[in-house]
Amino acid sequence: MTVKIIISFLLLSALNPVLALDNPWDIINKAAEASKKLSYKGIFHSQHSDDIKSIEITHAFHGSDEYGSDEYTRINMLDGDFGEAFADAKNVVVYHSNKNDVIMQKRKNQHLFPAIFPINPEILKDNYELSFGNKERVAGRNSQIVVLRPLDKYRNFYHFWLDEETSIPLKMIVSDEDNNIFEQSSFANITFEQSSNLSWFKPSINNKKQDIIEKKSDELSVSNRFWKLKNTLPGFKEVDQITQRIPGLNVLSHQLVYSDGLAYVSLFIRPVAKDKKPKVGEVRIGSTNISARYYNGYQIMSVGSVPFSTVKHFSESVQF
Amino acid sequence: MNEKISSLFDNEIQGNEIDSLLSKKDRGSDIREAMQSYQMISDAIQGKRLPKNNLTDKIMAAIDKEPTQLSGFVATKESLGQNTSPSEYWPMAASFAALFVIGLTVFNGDSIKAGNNLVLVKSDIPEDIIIAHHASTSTNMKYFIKTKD
Amino acid sequence: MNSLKVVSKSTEVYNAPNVNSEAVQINMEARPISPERAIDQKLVEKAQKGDKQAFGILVEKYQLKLNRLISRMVRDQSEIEDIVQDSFIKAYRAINNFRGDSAFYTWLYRIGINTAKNHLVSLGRRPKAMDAVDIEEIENFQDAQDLRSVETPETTMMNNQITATVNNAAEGLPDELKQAFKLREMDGHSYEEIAEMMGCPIGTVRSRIFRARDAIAEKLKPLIEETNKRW
Repeated sequence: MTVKIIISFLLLSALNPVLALDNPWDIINKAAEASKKLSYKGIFHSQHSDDIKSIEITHAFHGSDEYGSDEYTRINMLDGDFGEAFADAKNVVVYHSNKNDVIMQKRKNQHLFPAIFPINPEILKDNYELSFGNKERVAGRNSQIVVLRPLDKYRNFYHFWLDEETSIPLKMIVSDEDNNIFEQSSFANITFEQSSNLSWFKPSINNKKQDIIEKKSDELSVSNRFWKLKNTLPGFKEVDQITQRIPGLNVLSHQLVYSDGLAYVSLFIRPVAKDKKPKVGEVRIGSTNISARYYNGYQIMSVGSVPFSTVKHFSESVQF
Repeated sequence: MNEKISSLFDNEIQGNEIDSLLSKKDRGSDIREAMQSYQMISDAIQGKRLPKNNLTDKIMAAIDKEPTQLSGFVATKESLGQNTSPSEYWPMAASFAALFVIGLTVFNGDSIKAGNNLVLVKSDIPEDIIIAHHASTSTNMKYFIKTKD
Repeated sequence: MNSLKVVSKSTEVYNAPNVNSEAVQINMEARPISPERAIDQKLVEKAQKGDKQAFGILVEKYQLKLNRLISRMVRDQSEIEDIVQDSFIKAYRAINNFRGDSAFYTWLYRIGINTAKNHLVSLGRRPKAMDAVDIEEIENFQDAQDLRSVETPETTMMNNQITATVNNAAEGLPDELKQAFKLREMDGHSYEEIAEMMGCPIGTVRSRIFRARDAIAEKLKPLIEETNKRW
């Protein structure tokens, strides 16, 4: 009888690893680590607004040391126009077709599924509540549903299906409180394989048929930040500032990127040309909400897949 | 309300009465306090030794720090769309019609009215702003790789 | 010439023994669940939907019973309290896996026993006497008086006062309230049974028992406030 008791408890713990967690947030920490530190290959479907694409990802991790991580990612579109992204520990480069040519451009960083968690997931605790749901199968693997519920009205709900064995996100749905989806991604298949062969880490472009045009970044460094935000939303921190010259005009456009670790808002500040009418109001394009405001000769626009109240708050917070 | 708690204590309460008992937020401690009182009375009448410590408040203080348990991603009735499908499988060449949706509505509108603000339309927003936003922040590959022509 | 008598072949097809379908039929009739189990199931379902208050009621219902169960395995009161708390936290974390195949408190007690065992093992102590307890016995588990707990003169006096106050208050109740209350508390009758005995509707029984408790609780108030400081 004692054996029965022990077996039933072991079964209970094995079937529900959550039971064994001292800190429930460890599951998020594990999920963040898994997408970076595992080697895997798979195909997932990604939907944003009403558009769905099939995407292949190959990720290799060869260890880390004091100089950084030996990590390689290749993501390529399987449907529609040609598109590929490559990332190692320091660089991110994208390729996508532009009629006859292929455009290549660098990016600063990437938060592409499944590596969407911040480097330090602990920051999410202040603004999200963690909940555990049922277990479901995704891509032929058992997964645990984990939900990050926003603690205020300025964020969305994040639903994750975390692989039971590795904790890597197998599926993700971003929704509002009424279960309207902003975006979702889900693996159709995924395999975990460790290999030192990196021959796949190169663009699949036929150089003879297509020209690769590098679009260099026009980013400028600016020290004069003439703006300030009177009220920042809890948890949102400025994570990037990009200043560029508006093509054809001798004026600068500033883009400030704010994030709470999962949600991102871009705040654009650019002067309005004298002969142009500034835009004021709100609009949704696909799953992206935009709030526009005119202030002291500048067009302010905040953009993000976040609730309207959030983009509105950002656009109305700019002062100078 | 306390009469319901008294019935609950005796396991004589009806299911819908439990709903109404718990419908008001923050009644949990009142309910527990009443049940503790009834337990004390019951133990005394039955000649049982009264317990030293009631741990409920301490346990609930610890539970309150725990993440709320939910049984999965639950679609609301209102969010059921016409394109819902009971199938959970996404075929390789997924099309919108075959999309797996557990009764959820997908945003696809291009312009909406928002409160008392002016209504903008898609063409009011410079394309480079949208591209620049996605290039810095998107979790979606299709939007991440897009560059301005 | 003798013609062989052709023995007509039996035209009967050999049949397999006629299985008595009634005999092999598994009795699929569901055993009706007790009202207590139905109520617990309802509270669990609400907890599974995020209602922590519902789980709080389950904690209140069973924390004492679990305490007494664990005290059969562990001596130290503060350790018992830690184990009880851990057990409820583990039960809460695993609540979505509870399907109602057993009573909630059976499931809870399994968690409690294993939490206690793990605690003892972690301290290098062997789980004792409780090893032999059949888990099914817990279905009929009777509250055990903890003879090992040491009471101070103050707590003994307090308990005696509470007991005396309750008994006096009960005796002072109007007859109908007293009768309904005692039939419930001392004889353990259901509301339906009491209604039949007293010749009144179930709703009246419910109201009388509640009013009796309310009147007694009012008399106990000053003492309970004193006790809660200790609790």
